[in-house]
Amino acid sequence: MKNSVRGLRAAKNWSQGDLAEKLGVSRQTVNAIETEKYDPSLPLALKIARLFSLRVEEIFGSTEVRAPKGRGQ
Amino acid sequence: MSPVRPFRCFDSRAIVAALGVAAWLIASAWLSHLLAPDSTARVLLALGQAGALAALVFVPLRRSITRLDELGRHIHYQALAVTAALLVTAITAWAFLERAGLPHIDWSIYAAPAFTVAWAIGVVLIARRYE
Repeated sequence: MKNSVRGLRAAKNWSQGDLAEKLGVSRQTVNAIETEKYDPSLPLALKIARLFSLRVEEIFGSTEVRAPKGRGQ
Repeated sequence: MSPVRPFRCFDSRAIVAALGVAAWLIASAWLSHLLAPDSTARVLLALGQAGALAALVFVPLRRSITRLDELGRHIHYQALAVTAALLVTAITAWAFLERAGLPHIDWSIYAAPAFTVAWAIGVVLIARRYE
C-alpha cells in the first residue's frame, strides 16, 4: 500500500531509528513500511497517524506528503 | 537498505533451553533402550521427552517471538505456518510411501530437527522480502 511515511519523517528531520523509537518498533520495520514492502497493523498505523497528527487515510493509500496540522501548509 | 534480523530474538536463555532439551532427548532416547518395552519407567521417560519438547516450544521459543515487534512476529508466524504445512505434508506423504515399501523413518527423531531447519530457512527467505 502506498504511504507517505518517508516524506513525513523527512519533514521532521527524524532518522528511521528516531521514528522506530517513537513507535516502539525496529528500524527494519520502519524501513519496510517506508519502502511499501510491509503494511502495518491497524494499531501501528493509528500510532503513526497520531504521531504525525494526521488521519490514517491521509498517510496510507496515497503518495501525497502532507504536513501535520498546525504547520501552516 | 537495512537487513531484517529476525533471529535476534533468541537470547542466551532460549538457546540454553533448546540445547538442554536436545541433550535430554538424546540422553533419554539412549536410556529408553535400557528399559524393558512397555514398562512404566519407559512410559514415564516418553512422557518426559514429550513434556520437554512441548515446554521448549511453548515457553522460551514463544516468549522469544512475542518479544519481537510486529514485523518480526509476522515473519516468524509466516515461516512457522509454511513449515508446519510442509512438514505435515511430508510426513503424511512419506507414510504413504512407506506402505509402498520405502524405508521407515522414525519421525520422533527427525521431525523436530527437520522443523527447526525448515523454520530457520523460512525465516531467512521471508525476511529477505522485507529488506
